[in-house]
Amino acid sequence: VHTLDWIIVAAYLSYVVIDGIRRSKGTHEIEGYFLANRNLPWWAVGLSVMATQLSAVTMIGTTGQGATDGIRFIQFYFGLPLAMVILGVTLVPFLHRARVFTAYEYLERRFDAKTRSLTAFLFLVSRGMSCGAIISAPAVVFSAIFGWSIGWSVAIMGIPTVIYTMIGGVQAVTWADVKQMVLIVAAMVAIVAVILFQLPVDPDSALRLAGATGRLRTFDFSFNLNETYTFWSGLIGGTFLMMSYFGTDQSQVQRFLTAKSVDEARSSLLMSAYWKIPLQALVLLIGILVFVFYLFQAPPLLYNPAHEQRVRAEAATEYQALDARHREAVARREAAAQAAAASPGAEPAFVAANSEVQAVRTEALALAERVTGQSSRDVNYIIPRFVLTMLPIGLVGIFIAAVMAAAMSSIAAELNSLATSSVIDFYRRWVRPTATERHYLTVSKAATALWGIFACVVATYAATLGSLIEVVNRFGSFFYGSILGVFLLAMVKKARAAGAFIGLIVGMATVATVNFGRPSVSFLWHNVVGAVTVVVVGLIISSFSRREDAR
Amino acid sequence: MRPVALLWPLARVDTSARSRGADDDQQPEPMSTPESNDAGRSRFQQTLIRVMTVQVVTLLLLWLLQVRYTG
Repeated sequence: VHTLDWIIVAAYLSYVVIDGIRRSKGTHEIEGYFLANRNLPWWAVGLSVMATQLSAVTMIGTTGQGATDGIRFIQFYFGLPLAMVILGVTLVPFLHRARVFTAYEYLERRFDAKTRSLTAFLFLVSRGMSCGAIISAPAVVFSAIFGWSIGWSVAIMGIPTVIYTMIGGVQAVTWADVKQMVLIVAAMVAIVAVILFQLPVDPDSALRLAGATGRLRTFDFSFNLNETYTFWSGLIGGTFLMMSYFGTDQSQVQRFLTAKSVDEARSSLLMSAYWKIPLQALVLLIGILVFVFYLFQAPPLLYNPAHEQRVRAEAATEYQALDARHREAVARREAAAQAAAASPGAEPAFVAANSEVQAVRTEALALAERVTGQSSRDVNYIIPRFVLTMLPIGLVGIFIAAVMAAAMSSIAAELNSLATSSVIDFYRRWVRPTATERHYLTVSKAATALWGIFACVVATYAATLGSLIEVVNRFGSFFYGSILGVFLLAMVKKARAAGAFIGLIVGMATVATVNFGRPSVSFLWHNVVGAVTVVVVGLIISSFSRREDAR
Repeated sequence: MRPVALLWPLARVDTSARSRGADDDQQPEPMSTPESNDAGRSRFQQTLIRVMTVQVVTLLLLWLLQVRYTG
């Protein structure tokens, strides 16, 4: 990496921190610290919503997924536009008008304190751990590529984020998100332009080569509950997932609570409804174009440089044999790709040559797994490796800064929302119900710092905590749809507190059951199962509760 | 210019009368239907149609991409 690229990265990090500190001026009370005095414009909130959802995993993992698996992942987002419209007329106006700090605060007004506390607690546990995972994913990649320690990789992203989030509050988070979103989109567009410029074939031939390997197959209309990405799971399961995420997860709810009015809050969510699918298509297109690029340029046998070095050193003979076969297979594939680009009739030979390369890669990944004792899945390394070796000076720095920006924007929003829920739903509710604004502000900043430290520690030890994080993430999927069910129940006048609380417990238990395979359904359907169970059970219990009341 | 707002026809609703402080009303308030009147329903339908139209066009483009380039 050239010095100029590091200067770009350093300039970006410095600017974000300085601007965040500048934004702290005028924040003297928790309404300003957590909700920007409910005075932010819709477009800033909308960009912040999109930046929060677009993490570093999207920049390096989803682009890599585009290279290996194509565009079909986009089906995951098919339910998002409908979910945003539904939220715009249901939860958004109620939560915004209720002038609450957290979504869970509303549940106490509608139901009772235990429903509020349970939902807030579930949010804190899952988001606290996932925040660590969000830092960990890019940190592991930076560590492998640049040879940094994991601790240093975590610190370079975590420390600036904690500083500007703690000092500046939601104002700093939102305005940093706006700049970070612009940086991310600019980096992605620039990369697409550079790849198209460097490809030895025209864009039409490039798409034809990608299409021949199935990478442009978007739609899978099969109705299979065990298949994760299908049109129906994306449309139905995705709608419930997006409603849960954008409507009940404090890290998202807090974004639209900062908007000036209900109308502006709705508009901010609609920005995602209009732009999320095209943006995600752009992300996946980068991966697809990188795949085509490597048809004409020898790709590495293993994309993870740390694994590559270890395998070279510890299984040299096997690696050299595989490397030689890989080079021959790649040469045959390049010739076949040239022929297929010139004549569509040659596509079957190209597909066969591509399968040959994939077969050698599969053997190499198995060898890497045997030598290192770690998962050798290297999807997350494809794009960083491509960027560092193939892109011009300057653009490399912009890409590294964009990956950091994507990670920081997600972490900042989560730290801010974790602190909000900790202070509002627990500290102010149960520990110190009355205190000065100055006291709450100090506690809020301390809570942000503590959650930041917790996330950095989790990220640093993510490798050893791997199974624990997976358990927590899986546990998180148990209640996501169920919490949506509680909010849906809140819209029904006949629903009672007992119904909501028992429904929530039964909903989570039901999702846990289908998660462990009785019957087995893929995770996008979990939210549908959870939400529907909570509503049905909640209404039944509520009807008994009303009869008790009547007596 | 506010392109998204222009595509969002839900009119501004006067929230001042319904707004209240965080602690000044502890009565359960069901999330009943603020947009349940005919005008609100009509605005929602218009918005739904516009958002869905954009999505259908996007999906159509993806479908054409699949049909054109996938054998």
